[in-house]
Amino acid sequence: MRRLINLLLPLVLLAPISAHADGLDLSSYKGKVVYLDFWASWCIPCRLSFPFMNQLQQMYGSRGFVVVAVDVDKDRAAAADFLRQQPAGFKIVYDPAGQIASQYKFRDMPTTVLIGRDGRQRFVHDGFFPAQEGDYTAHLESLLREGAQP
Amino acid sequence: MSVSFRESLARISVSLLAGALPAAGARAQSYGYGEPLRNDNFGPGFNYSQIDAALLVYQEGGGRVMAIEPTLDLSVHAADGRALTLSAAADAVSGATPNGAVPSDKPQNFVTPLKAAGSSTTVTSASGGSTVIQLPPTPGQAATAALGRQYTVAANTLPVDKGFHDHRAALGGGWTQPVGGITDMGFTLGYSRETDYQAITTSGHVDQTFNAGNTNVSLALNGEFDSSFPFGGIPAPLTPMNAQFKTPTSRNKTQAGFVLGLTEVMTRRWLLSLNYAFDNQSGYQSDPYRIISLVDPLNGEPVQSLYEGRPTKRTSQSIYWDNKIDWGPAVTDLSARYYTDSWGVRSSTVELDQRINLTPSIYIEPSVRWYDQKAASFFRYFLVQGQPMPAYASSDMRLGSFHALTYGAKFGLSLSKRSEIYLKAEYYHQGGAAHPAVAFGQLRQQDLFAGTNAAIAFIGYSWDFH
Amino acid sequence: MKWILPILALALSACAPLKDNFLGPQPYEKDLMARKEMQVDAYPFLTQAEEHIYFSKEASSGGRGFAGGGCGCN
Repeated sequence: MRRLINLLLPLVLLAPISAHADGLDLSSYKGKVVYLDFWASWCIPCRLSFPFMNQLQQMYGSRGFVVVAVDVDKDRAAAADFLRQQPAGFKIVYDPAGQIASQYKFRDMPTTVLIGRDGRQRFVHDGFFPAQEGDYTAHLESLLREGAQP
Repeated sequence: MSVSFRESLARISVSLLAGALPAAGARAQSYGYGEPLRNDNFGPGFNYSQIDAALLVYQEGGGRVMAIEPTLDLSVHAADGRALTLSAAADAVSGATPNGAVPSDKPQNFVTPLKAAGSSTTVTSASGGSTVIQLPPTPGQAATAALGRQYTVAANTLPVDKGFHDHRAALGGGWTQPVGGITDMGFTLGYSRETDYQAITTSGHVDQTFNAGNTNVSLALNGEFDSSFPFGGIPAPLTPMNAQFKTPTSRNKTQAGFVLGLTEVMTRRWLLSLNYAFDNQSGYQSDPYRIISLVDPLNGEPVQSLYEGRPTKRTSQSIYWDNKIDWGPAVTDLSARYYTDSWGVRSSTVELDQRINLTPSIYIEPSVRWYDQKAASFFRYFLVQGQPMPAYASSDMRLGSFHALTYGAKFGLSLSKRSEIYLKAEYYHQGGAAHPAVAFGQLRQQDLFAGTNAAIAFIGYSWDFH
Repeated sequence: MKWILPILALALSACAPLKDNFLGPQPYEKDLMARKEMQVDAYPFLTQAEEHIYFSKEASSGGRGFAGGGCGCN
């Protein structure tokens, strides 16, 4: 009995996270690797992450990979201004009240959550550092190799 | 002529750098007025540089001190958080400054050493109304000056020494970077030099951010080594003012201290800072040009001028509390500081700034500052002849009891996404007892408060580039 | 008895938002802290100029700090 609880515990704890995200239904991405990135116009390192995410979406989109960028700006005009300067070739979701963001554990901005094909959180990246782009890519490639493409 | 004013200008090197370096890092993460996006690609993760240029103009009322100080600062930031800062400052100070004596109902004469030892240069009007005088030989002194400078102060006016002017130059540099798991570490070095004063300053700091970026704890250590080499040498404390050249010709002072800081993001709109500062100074801390009047015990007439003397040790502590609250179109900055030291000085300071963003590129910021100070234990308006001489005495109003009010306004204009110009004008007024209870005889009719009123103007320009 | 703790953790995880900080706003709520006017010392030249004027005319000195605040990005 104890062993069963210890086995089920991580899944049970993570289940609420992957299931309900207001305004964002991650279950529709089941089977794909999701690069869930939280950004804001006031976050300077986010300007560096956008070209990288554009690159990722282009390179891996055909292999069952999707970038979902959640904007936590309270000022929509500021986000629009940012997107004019840093065009996004990926999906943008607006979360001004932080309802989606509050489902995740934040230590920094930006925060990227890598979700595997099974819908579970697998990696979390705190902040964005160009020097670590190799590591970010390695993480998502390891998730892409898991399971068959839909 | 106040060496304390120069001393304070010398300190700009280390304090400017110690403040500018981490502040430059913090500035880098921020944007324009009321708008999230102002600076293009300047901040953490980017390589960029910043130039700051500023000019300070300071003018006291009543023909007293005037100072002009241009400053220039260059900081270079690497994407990984390393930053180098270089700074330069120069200033020209001139005007009259109180010499420390009390006003009298009769004219008073004061003698000081003539600028060049043993020279017979004629004193022009540029020396501010002084005359060259022949000095009587001093018995028992091997080498004496034959000439001195004498100036006369009219009756019922605050004695000031005019014709004072000096130039100063300062250079400084600093380095800061993250180290391993430590958010930031750095050091600064500074050098400041003028005709009769030199200061070498250094500081080191370490700070750590945690709690998801909401809490920052910092420790800064600072040290300074000053040398004072006044015209005419260092006078012995509480000895009569004279035009002879004195020994020693210079004396030093060392200072060491630390500042422990806590900055906390309390809510989305409220940033709180709390600092504790400790400082210890040891060495020569008197003003070599400043005197104190020795007055007649019956009628209060000054009969002699004595050089002042301050203790050679001074330990101080202060607590500083700051709050910044963002209401949206306006930001309030409210701070308070309490200071106390071993010389007996106690002070309270409260500052209130209200910034109002008129448009995304223009803001105004009215401000007010209240200050109250209780005198040092050895502060005296004058000394009385015949009474026992205290160990230390100074009539420098800077160490006296007074209150001060500063009111002003700042105006800022964002010229582009990468540059900004700002202007601040303020008026500083000190107020205190013109007729303290200790006054007697002719001193009762005199205004014994030698506080300052000054108009201050500051213009600054900041520019980011890659 | 040992199975009480996992049940408790489960219950807490269902109702409490995940937090890594024990005081203050979440990192995604730091938009205002990123603004220039909310920095600890956004205009150090001005601060230093005023500090040294007051230092030369008053007996007190210093005490101000410089680090912390900001959007906390990276």
